[in-house]
Amino acid sequence: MAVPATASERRAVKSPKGGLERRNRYGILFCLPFVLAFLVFNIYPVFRTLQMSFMNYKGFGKETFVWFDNYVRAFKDPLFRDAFGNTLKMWGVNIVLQLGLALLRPIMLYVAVTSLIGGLQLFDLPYLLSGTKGEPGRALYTSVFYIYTTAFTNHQMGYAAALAFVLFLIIAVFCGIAFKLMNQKED
Amino acid sequence: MKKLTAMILALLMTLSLASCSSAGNPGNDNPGTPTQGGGSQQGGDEKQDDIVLWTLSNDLKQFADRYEEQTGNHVDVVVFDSADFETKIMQTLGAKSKDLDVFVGEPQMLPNFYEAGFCADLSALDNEVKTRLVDYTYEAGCDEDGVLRAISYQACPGSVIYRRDLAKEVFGTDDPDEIAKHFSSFEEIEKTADTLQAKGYCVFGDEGALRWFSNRDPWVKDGQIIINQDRLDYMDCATHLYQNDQVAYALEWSAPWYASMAGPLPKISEAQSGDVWGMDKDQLINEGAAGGEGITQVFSYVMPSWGALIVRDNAEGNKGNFGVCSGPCSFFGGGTFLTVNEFSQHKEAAQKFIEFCTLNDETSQWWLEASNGDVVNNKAVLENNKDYQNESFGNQNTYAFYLAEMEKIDFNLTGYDDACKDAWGKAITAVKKGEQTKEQAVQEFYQNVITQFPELSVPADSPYYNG
Repeated sequence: MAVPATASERRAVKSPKGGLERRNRYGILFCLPFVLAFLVFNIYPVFRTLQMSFMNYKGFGKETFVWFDNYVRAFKDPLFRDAFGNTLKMWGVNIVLQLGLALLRPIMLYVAVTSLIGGLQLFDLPYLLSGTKGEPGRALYTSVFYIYTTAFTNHQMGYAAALAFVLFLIIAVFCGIAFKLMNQKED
Repeated sequence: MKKLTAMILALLMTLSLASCSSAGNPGNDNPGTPTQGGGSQQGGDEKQDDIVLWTLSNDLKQFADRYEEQTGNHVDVVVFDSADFETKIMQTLGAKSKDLDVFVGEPQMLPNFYEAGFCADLSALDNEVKTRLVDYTYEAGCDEDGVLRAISYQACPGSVIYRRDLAKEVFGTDDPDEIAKHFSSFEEIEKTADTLQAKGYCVFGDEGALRWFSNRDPWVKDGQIIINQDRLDYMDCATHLYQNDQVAYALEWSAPWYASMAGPLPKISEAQSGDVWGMDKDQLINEGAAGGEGITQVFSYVMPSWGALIVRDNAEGNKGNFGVCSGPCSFFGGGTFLTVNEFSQHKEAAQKFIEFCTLNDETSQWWLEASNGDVVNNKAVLENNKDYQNESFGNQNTYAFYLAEMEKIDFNLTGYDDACKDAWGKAITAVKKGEQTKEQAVQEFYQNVITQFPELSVPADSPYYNG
C-alpha cells in the first residue's frame, strides 16, 4: 500500500471508515436546504393526498376513514370519464403537432412522455377560457378541472385526492405503454 | 475559514426558505394582494381594542372610519377580491391564524365556515338580533344547531324592476301592485312576455332572470333533491321566452344589458350575444345592429336590492322611470355577514365592532343615508323610513316595499344549492335549444347531482325519475 506523501493526504486517510469523510459533510450541508424544501413541499403533500384519498373529508372538519369507497366512486363517475375524454381530445391535438416536429425516435419518446404528463393535467387555459364553468356544455371540462371543482367548490377533498391518484395511475400506465412501444421498435 | 464560509452559506440558504413564507400574512407584495385601509394610519402603539377585519367589499372601510371616530379604536380593514376570498379564509383559518379578528362571509359561504369551526359563538346577542333584525338575516347567521355565529348590517331582498313608461303604454298603469299581477306566476310571465312582444318589447334582458324565482322551495331537504312542479314551470317559462324570441339576449353584466337600462338597443340574435359582450353603447348601436332585427327595449330586470341600484346608476335619461314590484315569490341574493374569528385574541373587541355595525340604530340610519340606497336589515330603521319617497324609482316607498318582501322570505339555503342551480341551468339550456327532451334533461340533472353528491337521493315520486 502506498504511503501518503503530503499532509493533506495523511489527514484524508486519518478518518475512520465508519465516519463521514470531511468533504462529504460539506456536500450534505449544501444539499440540505433543497432536500428539506423538497420533502416538505413535494413529498409530504403526496403522502398526505394519498392519506386523504381514503377519507371522507371536506378539507375542514372531521376526517372519516372510508377504505376504497372514493376509488370505487372514481371508476364509476361519468363526469370524470367525460372530463378525461375532453382532456384526451385536447392533448391529442397538441401531441400530433409536437410529434410532427420530433423526427428522431428518442426525441419522440421524450416528447410523448412529457406531453402526456403535462397534457393530461391541463387545467389553466380551459378554466380561464370557459369562465370557470367548463362551458360550452362542459366541453372544456378537463380531469384536473373536475378535481379542482370537487375539492374547492364541492368541498370533497377526500374524493378529489382519490381522483388525483387515479389520474396519476392512468398517466403512469400510458407512459409505461409509450416506453414499451418505443423500446420494442428499437429492438 | 473555508469551513466557516461553508457553514454560513448553508445556514443562509436554509433560513432563506423561512423568509419566503407568506401564509396568513396580509398585505404582502404578491399578485392579488389585498388592499388595506380604513381608519387613520395605525401608529406604533396598538391598543388592546384595535382589531383586524378581512372583507370582500369596500363598504366596511366606512364603518371602520366611523367606529374609530366614535370609540378611538382602530380597525385595520383588509379588502380581498371576492373571487379569492373564500379560499383565502379557508386556508388562513384552516391554519388557526390569529392574524384577523373579524371576517365577513356571504350566505352561501357561511355554512362551510360554521362547519369548519372558524366562527365564534355570538349567542349572547341572540335575543337582540332576533328581535331587531329581519328574520331571514338572523337565520342565515345561525349554524345548523341554531347557534348564532354571524350578523349582517344589510338585507338584499329581490324584486322585479320595471319601466314605468312602458308599463303605462302596454298595461295602462305603472302601479306596482297592478304590475305585480303580471309577474305573479310563471304562467302569467309567459302571457306578459307575449303582450310585450306584440308591442315590440322584451320582457327581460335574457331568460336567466327567471332563476331568482327558482328558490321558493329548498333544492335539497332531508338528503333528497327537490324537483317539483314549480321548478318544471320555471323550465317551461324559460323555454317559452327563449323559443319565442321574447328576450333581448342582453346577458347580465354585458354591455347590452347595461345599455338597455338607458333606453332602446338593437334587437340582436343569441349568436351575437357573445360578440357584443364588451362593446360600449355607441359601438353596440352602430355595430351591434348588423345582422339583428331592429330596435327593442327591455321591460324589466329581476335583481336583489343592490341590483336596483345598478339599474338606477345606469338609467341615464331613464332615471326616475323605474318601479319595483313583487314576482312569483320573494327571494334574496347576497349580503355581507360579519363574524368573529374563533382563534382571535381580541374577541371582545371584535364583537363590539360587530355590534356597532349591526345592532346600533344610529349606525343603521347613517348607513342607509351614506350608502345612497343600500337596504339595511334593522326593522326599526326601515319602519322609520317607510315613507321615504325614492325619486330614482318614481317616488315609490322602496323601503316599505322591501320590508314587506323581506318578511316573506323563507330562508332555505343549503350547501348543495350552487351545484343544483348550475345543473338545473344546464338542463334548461338543453331543453330550450332542443338538444334534449324535458325527460332526458331532468334525468341527466338527477344523475349529475347524485354523481357529485352521492349522499343525496331522489324521491321515488319525482318527475321523470326512472330510478
